[in-house]
Amino acid sequence: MTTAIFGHHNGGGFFDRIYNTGASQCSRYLQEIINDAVDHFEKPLTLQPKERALKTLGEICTTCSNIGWDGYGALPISKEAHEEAARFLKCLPLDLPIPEIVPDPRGGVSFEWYKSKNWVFTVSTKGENLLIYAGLMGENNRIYGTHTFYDSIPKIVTENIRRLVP
Amino acid sequence: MTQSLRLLLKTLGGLFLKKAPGDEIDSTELVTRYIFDKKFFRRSNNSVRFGAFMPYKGETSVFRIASLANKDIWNIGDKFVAKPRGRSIKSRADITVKAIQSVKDKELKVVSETSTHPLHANIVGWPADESAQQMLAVELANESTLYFPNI
Repeated sequence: MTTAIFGHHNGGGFFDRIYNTGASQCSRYLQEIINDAVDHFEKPLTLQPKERALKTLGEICTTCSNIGWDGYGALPISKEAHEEAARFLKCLPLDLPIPEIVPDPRGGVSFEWYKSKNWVFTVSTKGENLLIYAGLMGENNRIYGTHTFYDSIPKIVTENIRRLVP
Repeated sequence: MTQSLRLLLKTLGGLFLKKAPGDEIDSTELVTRYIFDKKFFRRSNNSVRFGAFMPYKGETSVFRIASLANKDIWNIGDKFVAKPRGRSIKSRADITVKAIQSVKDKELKVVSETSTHPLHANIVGWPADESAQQMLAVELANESTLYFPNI
């Protein structure tokens, strides 16, 4: 039965299985168990901080859903901004550190990578398919701009984050 | 008696600085931004995040604190800023007017706006471009000093 599922005849390993040729209930059950095991195995440990970040994002968006949440008339974080911020987190390359998530008074979400005084990079999203970024890369060395954002994070953003990574 | 009266006048003079609304404030003065959201500062190293300085309708509300004792700075914040909002102050960010005027392209200035309090002022001159705004707020946060109320 195991042979039928893994198909190790091709010289491949655990993940090179082709398909399950078994038809019995027992075989299907075994297939489910193996699928779960593979999913778990393929899930890198590094994804866990991302999941935590997504949870934090959700909490922040709930807390900041009313106008004036900052005490000064901040706009509520829109559903679009929340979704876009989640997309940004999911798109973040695994070698980059997970940022601090901060509500943005403009009705969006900001991400912050902070190294020390004069070394900080921030990215904001408002659900408009745009990334607004601004950072200090050493004293009097500013970088800021806006970039469209759909399904991948622009290089200018990832490069600047990497400048803050030890 | 005369000396006491003079001292009283000096204190009151400090509290009710003769600045008409809209007047630019001297660069040597210190202003503070009261912060109501814990996400706007870093507890790890007691520093301020840019969100604390982001403008609302083109202005960032601050208070002039040069003439005030620390206790009075918190009292004014509680009475005139926190209470009307039904909030509690989590911290405050102090910054000199000179630092505000010096950031980026020297666009920002601090002007008196006394409709709510004689020491109230606004940081104005924010650019329309959102990334430029964010950049300025990042710089203001970077230049400011964080204080916590004594609870």
